[in-house]
Amino acid sequence: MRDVWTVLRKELKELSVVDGGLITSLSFLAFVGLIGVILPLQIGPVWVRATWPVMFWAWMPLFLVTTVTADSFAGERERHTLETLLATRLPDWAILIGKVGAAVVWVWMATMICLPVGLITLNIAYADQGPLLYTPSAAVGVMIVAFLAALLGASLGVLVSLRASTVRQAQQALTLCVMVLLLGPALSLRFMPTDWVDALMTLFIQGDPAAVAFALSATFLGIDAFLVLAALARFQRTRLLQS
Amino acid sequence: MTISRLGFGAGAGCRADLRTIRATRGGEKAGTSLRSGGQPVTKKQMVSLNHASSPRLAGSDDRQRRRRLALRSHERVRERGDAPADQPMAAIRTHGLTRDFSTVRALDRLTLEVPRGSVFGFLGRNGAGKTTTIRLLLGLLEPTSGGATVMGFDCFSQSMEVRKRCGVLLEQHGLIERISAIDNLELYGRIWRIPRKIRRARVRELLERVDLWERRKEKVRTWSRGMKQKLAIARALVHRPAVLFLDEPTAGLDPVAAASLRDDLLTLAERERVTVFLNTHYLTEAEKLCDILGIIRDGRLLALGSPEELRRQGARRRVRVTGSGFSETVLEMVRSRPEVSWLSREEDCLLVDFQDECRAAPIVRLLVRLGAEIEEVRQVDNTLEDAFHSLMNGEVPPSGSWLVKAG
Repeated sequence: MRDVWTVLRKELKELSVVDGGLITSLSFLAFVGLIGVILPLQIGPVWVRATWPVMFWAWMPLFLVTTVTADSFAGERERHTLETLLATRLPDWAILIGKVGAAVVWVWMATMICLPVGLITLNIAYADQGPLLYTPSAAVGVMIVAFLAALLGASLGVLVSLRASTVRQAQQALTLCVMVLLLGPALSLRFMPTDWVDALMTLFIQGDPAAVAFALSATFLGIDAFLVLAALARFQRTRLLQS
Repeated sequence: MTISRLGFGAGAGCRADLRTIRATRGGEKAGTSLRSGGQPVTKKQMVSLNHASSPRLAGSDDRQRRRRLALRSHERVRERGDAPADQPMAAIRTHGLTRDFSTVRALDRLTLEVPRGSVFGFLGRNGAGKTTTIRLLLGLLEPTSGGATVMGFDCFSQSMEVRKRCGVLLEQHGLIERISAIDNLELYGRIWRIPRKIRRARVRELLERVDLWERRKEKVRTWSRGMKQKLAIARALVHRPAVLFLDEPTAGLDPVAAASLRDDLLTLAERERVTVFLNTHYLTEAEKLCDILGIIRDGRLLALGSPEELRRQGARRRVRVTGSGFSETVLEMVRSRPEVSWLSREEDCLLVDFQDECRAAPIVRLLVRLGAEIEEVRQVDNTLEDAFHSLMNGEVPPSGSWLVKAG
């Protein structure tokens, strides 16, 4: 685990200082401003009461993580730092998990900052409506679903980045994957029986947010496990330098 | 069966044994020799170049002394035709190491041993197989056939153990340019699990040695290539590796920066008592730094020996005759002599290459008889460059006193 922590620290350090750190900080602030302030203000108190925002917290990390993970291996390869890293004593799995972990931590932290910022914004803007809060189970559900969505995106990103020779190539492949992930379920609704679709719509609009969050978490968990195992299986030092 | 210290396998018929040169490092127990079939041969007597108990090697005199000691042990092996019991253990050993990339054979049956504490130089053109060799030795590539060990560990089945003992500066410096110099070394110190207190002292020590301590907080991306290379060498040494792999460390540097880097490299390598495996295509660098040189072409090791040996073996016997009256007729007459392998006129002098064992006197007599006026006859010193080019151009057969000849 110490090796994983070392790689994770390295990755987070690199992420935090990219382009001198200023652009990273500004981008981060812009992101928090958009997701944590503007969006809740636009939507209003429904942001905490309805079920569908849970879906948003599942989508957002997935979208965000692609910008980080494309850089993981392809970026190192492009900057010629990968071979030196591979020539160290770090085990394969530690490098891989460290990189996935860094992406997850980065994105999950961003999400977790947006969550309370959104609540604060709503409570200031709609102070007359009394305290606006997620139910504890919904809050936990959102945290879990955001974490698992970040893990899904990170594993997928690392898996793609493993074989991509440039960051651009990795980003293109990842964008395609995320589009499939996001649009795939929506498109699949067209082929479902009508009563199934109705039931799903009712669940997402009127259902218990916590139940939706846990249902999503269970789905993500299965996909995450598969992707992490696939990435571990594909990560082979002796093949990385040839790609 | 012909025994030699270092060499390349000569096909399936190669039955030569590889004996091990041993050194104990800080009282480390000596290991066993390997026969070509991988069968260990125990040697009872162990005398060594015990670097740990020897005084620090700092100056060029010490380096010369170390080189003499290493070479003397090689000489003994050759004279006796057997590995003496007091030989130091090899830091690197390959046997028939081969690597193919689709249709290209990047490395062809490489067999060699690098004694501990020596600076081994691998000379060859771009694409000769030097980088592939380092990658194979670090377990970053799998061999097509053959095997290799570093510090007694198999490069493929025990690659992690190998990497634990190695420091590397590959073709690209591999530094993280977004972060500072000190952060780069700190990161690698953490990777090598050096405790914080020791790590900080070590990082400072290394940065001071390469004169970068004052600039430790600067982002590496703003630095010159020479500074980056120095920092990369410091990074490679942060965990006190037993073997240091350097892949063309001075490539792309201006002569002053290259000389400075070479000095730093030599000082660090000697202070750290590390075995160095240096890939280079700079002959001067190889000559200055290396105790043993290997010349590689198209994946095949052509020659192996000390720089002095290679100069002697690879180069032609050349004489410079200064004078006048070197007409075309005279040149034709000289050229037709069987002992002359090559002849060229340069203004008022002739350069004549002789076949082995032939003397210059008959040719000088012939020149005088043909009416030429001779002012001076001088044997031209062979240079490593001559040897290198002769080998590269196939003018001399692959050779070297340490090459394993086919049994």
